[in-house]
Parts: sequence; structure tokens; C-alpha cells
Amino acid sequence: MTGLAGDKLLGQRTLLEQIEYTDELTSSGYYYGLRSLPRKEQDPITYERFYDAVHSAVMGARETSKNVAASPGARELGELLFALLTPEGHAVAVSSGLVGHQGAFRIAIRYMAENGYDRNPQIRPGDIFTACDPATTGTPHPGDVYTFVPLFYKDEFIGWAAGMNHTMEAGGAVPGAWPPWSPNTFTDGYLLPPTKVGEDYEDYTWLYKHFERRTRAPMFNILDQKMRVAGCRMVVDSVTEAIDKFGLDYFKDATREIIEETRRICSDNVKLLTVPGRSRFVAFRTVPYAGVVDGVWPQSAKNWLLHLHSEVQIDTREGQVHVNWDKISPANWHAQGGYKGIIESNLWLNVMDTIGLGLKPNSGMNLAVTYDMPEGGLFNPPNDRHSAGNPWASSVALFNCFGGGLEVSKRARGFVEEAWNSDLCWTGIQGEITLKNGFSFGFCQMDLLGASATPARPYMDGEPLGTAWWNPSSDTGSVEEWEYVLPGIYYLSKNVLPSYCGHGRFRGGLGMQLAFAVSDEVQEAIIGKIGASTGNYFTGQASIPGGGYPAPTSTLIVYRQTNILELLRQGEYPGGMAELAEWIESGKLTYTDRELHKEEVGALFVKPGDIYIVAGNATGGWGDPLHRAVDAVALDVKEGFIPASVADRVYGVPVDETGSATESLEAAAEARRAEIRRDREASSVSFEEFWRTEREVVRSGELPQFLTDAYAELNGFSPSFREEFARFWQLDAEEEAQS
Amino acid sequence: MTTAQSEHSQIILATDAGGTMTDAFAVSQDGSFSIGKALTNKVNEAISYANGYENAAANWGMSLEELHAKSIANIYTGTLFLNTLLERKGLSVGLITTKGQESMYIHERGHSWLGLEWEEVLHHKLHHHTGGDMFRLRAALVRGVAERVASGGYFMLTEPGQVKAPLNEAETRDAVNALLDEGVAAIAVVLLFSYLNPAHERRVREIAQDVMRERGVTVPVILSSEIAPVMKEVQRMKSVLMEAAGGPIVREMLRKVEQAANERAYRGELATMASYGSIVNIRHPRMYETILSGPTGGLIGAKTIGEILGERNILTADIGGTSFDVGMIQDHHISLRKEPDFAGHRLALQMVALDSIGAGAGSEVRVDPKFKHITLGPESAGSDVGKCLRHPRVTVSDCNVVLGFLDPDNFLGGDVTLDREAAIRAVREDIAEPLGLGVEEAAQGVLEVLNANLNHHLLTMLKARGANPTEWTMFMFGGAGPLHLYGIDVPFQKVYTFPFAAAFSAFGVACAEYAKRFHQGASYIIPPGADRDVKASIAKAMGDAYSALRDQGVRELNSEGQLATKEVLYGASMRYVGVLEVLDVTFTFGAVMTPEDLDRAIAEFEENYAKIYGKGAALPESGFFVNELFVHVVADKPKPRFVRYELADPRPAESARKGERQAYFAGTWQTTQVYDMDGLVAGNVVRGPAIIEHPMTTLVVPPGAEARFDEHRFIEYRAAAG
Amino acid sequence: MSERASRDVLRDLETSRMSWGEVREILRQEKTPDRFAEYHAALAEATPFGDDVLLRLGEYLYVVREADGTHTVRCGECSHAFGDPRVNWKLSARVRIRRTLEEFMEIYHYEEVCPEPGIAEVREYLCPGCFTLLSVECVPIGYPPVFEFLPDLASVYEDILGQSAPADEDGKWVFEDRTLQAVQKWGTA
Repeated sequence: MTGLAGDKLLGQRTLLEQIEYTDELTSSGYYYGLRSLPRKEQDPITYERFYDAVHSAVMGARETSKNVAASPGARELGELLFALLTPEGHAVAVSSGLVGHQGAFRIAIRYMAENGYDRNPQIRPGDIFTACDPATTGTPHPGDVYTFVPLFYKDEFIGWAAGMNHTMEAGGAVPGAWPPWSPNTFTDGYLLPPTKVGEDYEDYTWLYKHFERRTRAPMFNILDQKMRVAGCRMVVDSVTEAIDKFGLDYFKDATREIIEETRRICSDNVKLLTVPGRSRFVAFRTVPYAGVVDGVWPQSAKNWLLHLHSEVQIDTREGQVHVNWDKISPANWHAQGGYKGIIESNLWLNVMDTIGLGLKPNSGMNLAVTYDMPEGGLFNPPNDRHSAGNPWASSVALFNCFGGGLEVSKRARGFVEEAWNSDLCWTGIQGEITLKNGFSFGFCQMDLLGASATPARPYMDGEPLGTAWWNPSSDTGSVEEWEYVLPGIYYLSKNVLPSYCGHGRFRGGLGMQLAFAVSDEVQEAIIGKIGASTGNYFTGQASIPGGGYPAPTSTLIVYRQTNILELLRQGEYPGGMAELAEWIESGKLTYTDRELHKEEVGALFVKPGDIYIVAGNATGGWGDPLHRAVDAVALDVKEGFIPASVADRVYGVPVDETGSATESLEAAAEARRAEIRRDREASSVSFEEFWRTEREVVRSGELPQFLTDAYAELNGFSPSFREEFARFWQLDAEEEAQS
Repeated sequence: MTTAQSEHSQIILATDAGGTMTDAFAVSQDGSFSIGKALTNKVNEAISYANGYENAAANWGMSLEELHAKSIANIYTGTLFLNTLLERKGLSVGLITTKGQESMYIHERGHSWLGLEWEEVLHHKLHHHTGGDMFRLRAALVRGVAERVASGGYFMLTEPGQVKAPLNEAETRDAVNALLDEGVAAIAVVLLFSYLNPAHERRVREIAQDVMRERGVTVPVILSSEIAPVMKEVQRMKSVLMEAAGGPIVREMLRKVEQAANERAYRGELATMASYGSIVNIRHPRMYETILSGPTGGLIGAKTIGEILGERNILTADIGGTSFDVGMIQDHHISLRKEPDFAGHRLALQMVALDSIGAGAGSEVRVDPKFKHITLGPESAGSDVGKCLRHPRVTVSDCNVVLGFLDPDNFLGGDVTLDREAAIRAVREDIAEPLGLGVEEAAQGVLEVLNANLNHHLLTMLKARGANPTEWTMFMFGGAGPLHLYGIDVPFQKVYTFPFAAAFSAFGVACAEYAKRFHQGASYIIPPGADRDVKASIAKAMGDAYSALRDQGVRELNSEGQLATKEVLYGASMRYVGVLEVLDVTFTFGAVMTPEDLDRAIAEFEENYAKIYGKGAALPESGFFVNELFVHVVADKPKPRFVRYELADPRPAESARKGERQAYFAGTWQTTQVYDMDGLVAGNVVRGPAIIEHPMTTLVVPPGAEARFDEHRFIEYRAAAG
Repeated sequence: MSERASRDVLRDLETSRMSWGEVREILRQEKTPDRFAEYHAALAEATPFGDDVLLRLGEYLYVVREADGTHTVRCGECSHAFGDPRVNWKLSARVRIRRTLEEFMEIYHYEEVCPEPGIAEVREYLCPGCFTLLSVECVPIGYPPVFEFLPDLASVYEDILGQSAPADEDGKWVFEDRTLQAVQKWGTA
């Protein structure tokens, strides 16, 4: 043994002692206690060259290794990440891809340290540690799998190479990578706490056997593991070369400085870009479990309302952002909660595009924001038995609210170009297909995960499939690739859905519709729909920075036993939702049953001849639709982005279906808009009047039971919510107790 | 370069027609060359073509007709295709696609970030769809028709290309009529999975032709299954749209140029360059393949010289004013990319794998005073050079002037005089002071950043191939290549530059071979442990496809007048079943015709795969998948030859010495010898510190290094002996 | 923002008179500390409030300095006053409530993507002066209005403008949410 393992990996310190030492230094407010950046200040050019060297190491690893991966998520859509970490797991440099995860890597490292992994099973060069258990590893949900390989330089342990990707299938109670029906951790899937799964850069066979037995897409999961290992090895090799060139002392100093530099830039950006104050945004989601798992898990036999409330406090003097989540819903026995990793990942993503401009993306960004997530809250469960099946859905909605606070503040400071509605969203389709030949496989279909519509801005419309902040190199894959990987299910449509957006002076980006027919090659298939673009029973966000209409909800519609296979044989099929409705109306398309799901769905069985449609990824509008340029409305109609009826009703622009008008359109619009304003006047009341009637509904117990229960749960969990709720509606003690 | 005209024979003409200037390059059999320049005439490029060569011919004391009469090949490249599209001057195109996919041109599968730097990709507000803008596509010009062809699929249930829904002919007629009503000048057809079964696309064309006959109009109908028969519909669509919108315009312009050449006594046909690095005739049916024609020249030149030097593996860097382009030649083959990003579009196109980095010798230097970052480009001073001439912002060139590498009185052969004091002032105020550095230190720092960028990109390219730099040779060229050569610190086996570095791309175009490349999407699955019968049937199908592609290639070459087929290469894009990324393998043995050939093909695939990704990444137990077949048909074409010189004494002749000046190396000012490039002969060795000047470029040799002129007058740059 | 007067640039941006190419260049430019002043100059021209405008609160609402030294939220279209910025301006707005599927479909067009009637309500907050749509909420019935942005005016003056914080009726401007006090006034008749 050449000092490669044991309890003194880091000179005189164990890994845990090292983490505690670093935390102590960082509690000064400066990462690693660095009040100055001597390497950078003495020679900024060498410092930049060093960063380029380690950054290109992780970028190169990603570009090369992803070609090994089988899963379409990694290969086709780039849903993967490589990073160089300090010994404590803080990211120094990250590749492109799923960039947010770097914020969570340190959780797994800490877990290994706290459990003495440096003594047993030991940490040695070429060892492979893989993890996907959200409670212990920081991975947000079991479909996100992390791999770590220790970085040694001449027998000295100096950091980690980390690789992660979003895998195709997690092996949960329902198929897919984000099981939305999962009452607790035991139904989440194949959960691996940080585990040594190989050595000398070679995986142990048992790991593959576990993937084969415990997941529904073993081949993809095995290849993904191979990819992560190949990439980590490339990181180790390239960084070792960089240390040969720059020296070990330089490496140790500069990696710390790079993180502190980033923290400082974030903090300076807060001072530069924002206005001090407090902003609040909120989103709601429903989690309908009643009737789903009642028999086995009675504690989950109910429907929840999630209150995803973010209060952002900005201090421009200190350059500090604080997020207060004191009004959030409590953790409960459903799949929409999570652990700390989902917070750290999301935090990083939101910092990146707001106060993270012009810096080296790394863990320093997490240090620029502080937060309170109350004990027992949705993402800080009281014990480690809670499910983290799909926290991305609820947390993205929560963090849109966080982002909204920053967007409002940047606009107020005058950075108009940097403001937009923070309501990015995603929709996933997942499930399991069993073919007539008996072959069965789980899948995630990421058409609507690879990119979302961009939100409206104060100066322009959003556009369809424009970006994905969880994966900046957005990509939805091609129909031809998806049908090749998922045979038996045919796309009838992958198109923008007209008028599917939040309206405003600028429109949100239109959402997309996917329509599928289940072919007769399929024995049976299970499909599920998850995602953050769904507000379920609500809009995407409750309100948005631009003040226009928030995005509509996403939806899954299933038509049972249609005549689509017969129509296909005749060379006919409906090209999307609108035509489908017409064909049903005319009797051309027949079906026996129709199901509509705005909420997340874990497992619906579909059979040959069924059609299902998923719509998602719309975003909200900016400003009053009556202020939209008349010619922009007419062009929308002409291009088929909105129907003439919407142009007239919502925008006050009376045009025919070609976007033209007989007389002067400007004059016609002016008259129509005046009429709409008069209608607004007639149909509105003063807020005080509204307050009196709404108060009666709250006080008299006329609320539906679902909402009564929801308010009671929130009032019971969050003292600050309870106080504001009661004082706002002026409830007396008895009424307060009821609601 | 100016020699008596009688010496010049077997001349090859290579034109690079840029948006502003047209470079007319003539290379004679003895390797000497002449360059003429003319302002590009955008209305009729035949005029600028003639002006350019009049100029080039005059250098050799010839008339334009004499030059043409002695020319044996004539290759015309340029940016016309790109500019036509960028300026939205292409033909109005209508698109017919599979019903339900009509907004493919809007959503572009989410590729809204193509062309952005990494930092910009992270800034989501910079994401924007290029969409149909370049093609002026709008909803009324896109029509869906019901039809479905099956993928085949991965788990071997359905035959690839099986028709699941017949083409709806009534809808097709309506679509054609609607597009013609809109006045389209071309119709593009992109149906799902047409690369596996083109029947529906062909039927659409027949119907379109019927409709047009009835209406008495004719517009071209362009099928994706003929233009780019490969997987991934969005990329295929982009390629077809480019062909439909730009192809006819470019072809017409090339015809005019050809006519101009023929009228001046050139007896052959005009050729142009395909982006995969071969010459094609201007009658080539897939004109969009020439969209990136110019920059490929450097790689072809490098490959040609590599063959002379016996170098199998070469990395190239073409350093110009605004960018550097890094390319690769592995085992004598130019590396290609299958899905290149171009002008914000991802294409289905074989394109030489050039990585363009937006920093070059003329790049603006920006310093963020707060964070002390130095960033270079993407803006560039172009012909304004820097603050030392008339550019408003400080540039890399200013740094080179400050450090004594560029002679302010002898820039571009003395055509312009640079202001050294202005450069010093600019570097001091804009870079040194914000960074808290000395002027020389700051200027040197900027060059180090540029060099670091270059080195990292060279290394990344090698690593992506699993290659070891010590087995590779580096060629550096472009106007600023020799100036930055010393910055390379990757441990290459050898490093070369060339006296004609500034004209290297044009030289390379002249070297290009005449070839056709065909790709055909396929779907062959070879299960693990497949028996001989299975393999025999796959081999037969592959063999038939290869024969058809080869025949098509030979036919096209024949029809374009290039009779002698020299070589046919066969290969396939393969992957392990389950893996999505394909690997292109050019077979060493020829086409797959028999089960034994198939085994060899698999063995060659596995060998290449392991080389790149490591043995652990292999997955033979899941079987093999052949995704695409390709055939490369090469015809004979004259190429420039290189003269072999007698080696002279290593010590340069005194006449080659221009004098000396101070230059800044490794932290100190040093007395540096200055040489005239044209005065140095084969065998000469110039030891650093030295600067070798040429009207079009400057070679910097720092202390401890030397430049040796070999028997071809290629310049090997290396550590000084002894 | 060197080539053109920056306040013109900002005005053109907000009136969407710019091509994507121009927008992209602005996005790429370095963010500089003088922006607040530039934006203030642009707002002084674009709103009825001239130099009295302090801060943009939302698309149509501004914090405006009054003659008596206090601050008021006002509509930039019609100058309607909404009162103290520390009280959620929504309390002074008109509000139109949508609760039925038909009402939702007027806005969201497809039944399948509408909020759930009986659970959710859509509140359109309108300016009582000009009936411009100021903000939209889709919340559970009975949910208190969201107070989207409460600026810390004292810090705006001190940290950004480098001036001493303004005095209001109680002396130094206090950063606190006074919405609940305002509701209290409605009493429980």
C-alpha cells in the first residue's frame, strides 16, 4: 500500500475531518476562508490558463464519453455531466450538460466521509463509486445516477472526478425514471447509496446483474455506467496532465480560488443587477393519490395540494440573496418531495442565468444564496423514508418562483434585456412497452424534456422548444430516433399547438403537442406523464413577473379503442388535437372511452388502437394582450399560431382566419379593444368587494373539501402562513381552527 | 514567385471567391504559384473571376488566355452559397412533409443554441431559433401529407421501411396545388423514414409533376431520400431546404464562371469543392454539399503534403484574423463529421471536421477590470489590424507589434505602416493597467491566452479520438500561423509550417482529388452469434447496396467527364445494438459481399471502437447494427507537384538576412535576427531568436528553437539542436 | 451601450423595435453600474412622471416620488394612484374573477389545459383608471393575493442612488409589509 487508502487520506486528516475543516473556513463567508486570491492576483494569466486546462478536461470527457452511452437521454439529448471536484466534493469546473447537479455532488462525498468509507471500503486510485439514492447521495431522484472516481496525484488524494447522467429507467413501482406514483422510498426504484462498484476503472459484474434484475432498461443503464466511468477516467488523466504542468501546490491553491472567485462574482452581480427588497411568487400542484395505492399504503390514500411558495430577499449592500421557504407544504407520503440534492441542483440552475453571468460555473454559486427550508418541509423530510420519485416536477415550479423574484428585481434595476417570465417547464413521457414477441422494456421519452418553450420577455415573444435550463444544450431528439428506440408506438404529431400559451403584450412560447397511436405490434404498454409544465389543476405558475396570463396546464388525453389503425391503413390520420376533435365530431374517428389527466400519472395501460396525446411546455405572457401590436396579432393568425377567435376575444384584433381584415385593422382593433375595456369594467369589482365575498366563502366552509384540507395542512405546518391567512381574511380563532 | 512564363505548364487554377475579395490562385507543375486578387462582383462572379486571373497571369507575364490555355484543372470555391442563404436571397421553397410534423422548421428539435460559445449557451436568454428564417419559410409554405413508413426498430419486430400508412394522394395533390398557388420556386420533400424507403417521396414527386403539367408550370422537386438519405428528420430537412433554396442559384453562377473560363481558352470543365474535401463537377446533383468549400482546402493541402512526408496522422491549425480552424488527418484520411452545425443549423452532411474557435490574430482583446479576465474575440479588426492602424479597439496584432514580432514598417510587405506607439499605448491603457501588469507582460499574457486556447483545442481533438500527440505531426498555416507557431506546447512528433502558409488553403484546393461520396441510411442488425445464413443474407443486401452506390458514383463521374475511376472506398456507420452513437469505419478490404467480409467489417469496427472508448466500453454481446453505408468513388485529377531541391548549407546566405531588431521573449528584450523568407533555401536552418519575414506572413523563432527548410522548402520547427 | 444613447436603446428594446441581432448584442454586453440611471432617464421620458419616477415595479406600475416626499405606486398608463408601495397594490385594483370552465376557455382555449373549475380561480387585476390588465393570478379559491414585489426603498436610495433614505410620515422609511394593516381597515362589518 503506498498510502493510497486508510484513514489518513489527506495528510493528517480523514475525509470527514477535511470536510469539517473546510466548512469551518468557509463559515467566514469566504470559500475556504479566502479573503484574497493570491494566485489570481499575482499572475492572472497563468490562473486563466490553469482554469482552461481543468475545464477542457471535463468538457473533453463529456464530448467523448457520451458516445459510449446507449440511453437516448445521454447520447442524443446530452443529459449528462462531468466535473472536477475538490476532496470535499465541491465542483471546480463542470462540463456542459446537466449542469445543476454539480451543486449536489458534495452530499454523496459527505455521506461517504461520515460513514468512514476511507477506512472501509477504502478509497483508492481507479475505484468507482456509484450512487443514486436521493436520501444519502444528493442525486435528486433515482433516475439521476452519480459516479465518482477519486483523483490521486503521486499517491496523494486530491479530489474527485464526477460523472452523472439521467438514466432511462429507475426500476420503481411504476416504470420510468421519475416514478410519480411512489408512496415512499421503497417504491422509488433501485436505490444505491454511495457504493464502491468497481476498481481499476472496471465495474464489478454484480452491478450489471443488479441493473438487469432491478431496472426495466438494463442495457441502457449498463452502458450509461460504462460511459460515466470512461468519462471520469478521462477527467483523471487530463487533470493529472495539468498538474504535471502547473504543479501540485498550484492545483491545490487555484482550485480553491476558482470557487471563491465565483462566489464573489455572484455576490457582486447581486449588487450590480438587482434592486433590494422582497418578492414572492407561488405555484400550486395537485397530487391526486386517492384510489391509486390505498389498499397497500393507506397513508397515501388522499389528494394533496402542494404550496410552492418562494420568498426572495435581496440585500444589495452585502450582495446576498436569501430564499425563505417557510410557507412551503410539508413532506408527505407521495413522490413530489425530495431531499437536499434537489434544492442544491435547482439553486445552481437558477443562479446561473440570473446572478451567475460572467463567471466560472462551479460550487461557488451555491454559496451566494442562503435559504431556509423548514424541517419537515417538502424538500427536507422528517425522515429518510420519504419518496423522492419525482421532485424535479414540484421543485422546478418552486424554483421558477425563486427565479421570478430575481427577474422582477433585475427589470426594476433596468436590465430589461435580462428579464423574462421565470416559468420554464418540462413534460416527460415514460413507461414500459411489451411487444407481441414478448420483448419488454422501460423508457423515458424526452421530446418535451429536452427543451421547453422560452418565456415571454418585456420585449419579445417566447418561442417553442427554445431552451432547457436544466440542460443548456437543449435537444429533444428526432422522431426517427425515438421511434427506432421505442418501436410499436407511432407519432401522429409533434407540432406546436396553436394558442397554447399564456397571452400578453408578448406571448409565451407556444407549447407542443405529441400525439401517438399504439400499433398492433404492441401487446400492451404502460405510459405515464410527469413534469413541471403542469400546474395540474392550476396554471403553470400562479402569477408571473410579466403580469400576463400564466401558462396553461399540461395534459394527457387517452382515446381508447379508436379506429386509428384502420384509418392508417387507408392513408389517413389526424395531424393533431384540433383535427382529432373535428374527426370525432364528424364521426370519422371513433373511440370507446376518453380519459383526461392534467396531473401526473404513473401508469396507464394502453393497447393497440389507442391514441394518446400529450401537450406541454407552454409558457406565460408578458403584459396586457390589449397592448400587443396589432400587426403581430394578425401575423400570429396568419401563421396559425393563434386562431382568429382568440385574436378577437383576447387581443381585441378582429381578423379573419387568414389574418386579414376588410377595413383598417388598426381602427377596428381600437374599437374592439375599447369594447373589451368596457367589458372589463363591467365584469370587475373593487378588490374590497371581492375580499368580502371571498372571505365569506372561506369563513362559511363553502370551500371544497380538498381545499379545506389543504389550507388546514398548511396552517398546521407553517405558522407564518397561518398568521397571514388568518389576518388577511380576518378569521376569528374558531374559524382559524376550522380552516 | 515571378518567373519567366515559359516555365509554367500544367497549371491548376483554384479560386476562392469570398464575399468581398476573390483570390485567384494559379499553381504550376514546378510548384511555383501566382495569386491575383479582385473585388468580388456579386451580380456576376464571372467578371471577378476573370479580373482575378488577369492579375495572376500578369504576375507570370502571361495573358488571361495563355494562362487558361495552359491550365489543366480549374476549381472554383467560395461563399456564394452561404451568402445567398444568409442574405435570404434563395429561391422561395415550399416544404411537403409527413402530416403532424409541419412545425419541424420552427422547433428544430430545440437546437436554439447552435453557434454560441459555451458561456453563452449557459445564458439562456441568448438561445434563439434560426428556424425557417434563412429559407423564408412560413406556415403557408409547409404542408403535411398523411403517410407512414416504419422505422424497423431496434428490437427487430418490423421490417425496416415497411409502409404502415399509404401516401394520401389526394392530400398530396392539394399540397402541391397550395404551394404552387403561393408561387414557390422549388418544392422540398421530407417524409419520415424515407431514408429506409423512398417510395412515398418519389410518389410525391410524380404527383407534383402531374399537377405541374396540368398547370403548365415547372419547379424542381427535391427529395430528402436523394439529397441526404440518412436518419434524423430535422437535419435532413435543413439539407434539403438548403439545396432547394440555394442550389439552383449557385449552379447557375458557376455555369457563368465556367463559360467565362471556356471563352478564355480553358478546355476543361469547372469544378468546385464538396465540404467533405473532394472536388465535384458543377453539375453535381447535391450542390448543398459544397456549402462549406473554401476552408476544406487546408486539410487537403495537409493531406497531400503528409503523403509526401510520409506522415499518417496530422493535426492542422489554420490561423487567420478572426478564428482558428483545427482539423485532423488520421491514417491519411481527413476526419469528417456527420452532423455539422453551420450558420445556426444542424445539417445532414459529411463535412470535414473543422473546429472553429472564434479567436485569431486580429481578435479584439477585452479585459474585465473587476474580475481580471482576458477574453479574445469574437469581434475582429479585419483589415483595420488594431489600434496600431485604424481599429477602435485593442487587438492581438497590437500585442504582436508591442513585442517586436510584427515589424510596423513591413506589415504585409510594407503596404501599410503600423503605429507602434499607438499599439504600446493601447496595450498599456486597455490591458496592462486594468490587470496591474507591465506592458510587455500584458501583451505576452494575451498571446499566452490565445496559445492556451489553441493548445487545448488541439488536445481535445486528439483525446476525442483516443490519440497520443507524440504519434502526431502538426501543420500550422494561414496568414498568422507562422506567427503563433512557437505557442504550441503539445508534445507533437513534428511541427511544420510552409513558406506559402498564407495561401495554403488555395493551394490545398488545387491538390484536391475528384471524388463522389454517397451515404445511404440502412438498418441491418447482426445478432450476437448470428449463423452463416443470417450473415449471408445481410452481406448480400449490403453488397447489392454497395454495388448500386458504386455504379451511381461511376455514372455521375462519367457524366461529368471524369472517366478514369481511380479508387473506390467502402465503409459503414456501425454501432453495437443499443448504443446510439455510430462509428464510421472505412473498410480496408473493400465492400462487404460475403459473410466473411461481414466478419471482417465487424472486427474492424470493434478495433476502432476500442481505440476510442476503451475496451470496457464494448458491448458485443448485444449484437451489431449497421446504420448507414457509404461509398467514396475517386477519379484521377492532375495535382501540383513539389520540386525536390539540393540541400544547401544549414547556414543561411548573408543575402537572406534583413537585419536585426529587439523582440520580447520569455520576459526580456532580446536582439533578434530578421530574415527574408524568399531568400532562405532548402537545407537552411534558422536559429532563434529570429524572425523570418514574408510579404504575407511572419515566422517567429524564439530562443531555443530553430526552423529548418527541408528538401521541399517545407519548414520544420523544432527545438534547436545541441 | 456606447454606440447609441443608452436610454434610447432601452426604450427601443422595450417597444420591441429591435431585431434579434441587436437584442443579442445588448445581451452580450458587459453589465455596467450606470444602468439604473440610464433606465431612470428612459422611464422619465416614457412615463407621465418625468424625473419623479423612482422604480419600475411591474409592466405598468411604478413607484413615484410625490411632492410631499412620500412614495406612491402609480399606473404608467393613466397615473392612477394605488398608494403606499408597502401595501400590496392589488388591494387597490379592480379584479375580475373567472371560475367556470367557459370563463377559463376564453383565455386558455382548450378545455383540456384549463385550470380546474371549483378548485382554481383566475383573478385579473385591472387598473381602476384605465382597465389595463396589471397582473393575473391563478390560485385556489380563498388564497390571499400574492404580494409580488416589495422594494426596500431605503436601500434603493442608499445602495443604488447613493443618497440618504427618504423620510416618510413616520420618519425614516421603514421596510415592512403593511398589507395586513390595510386589510384591517375594512373591518368586519
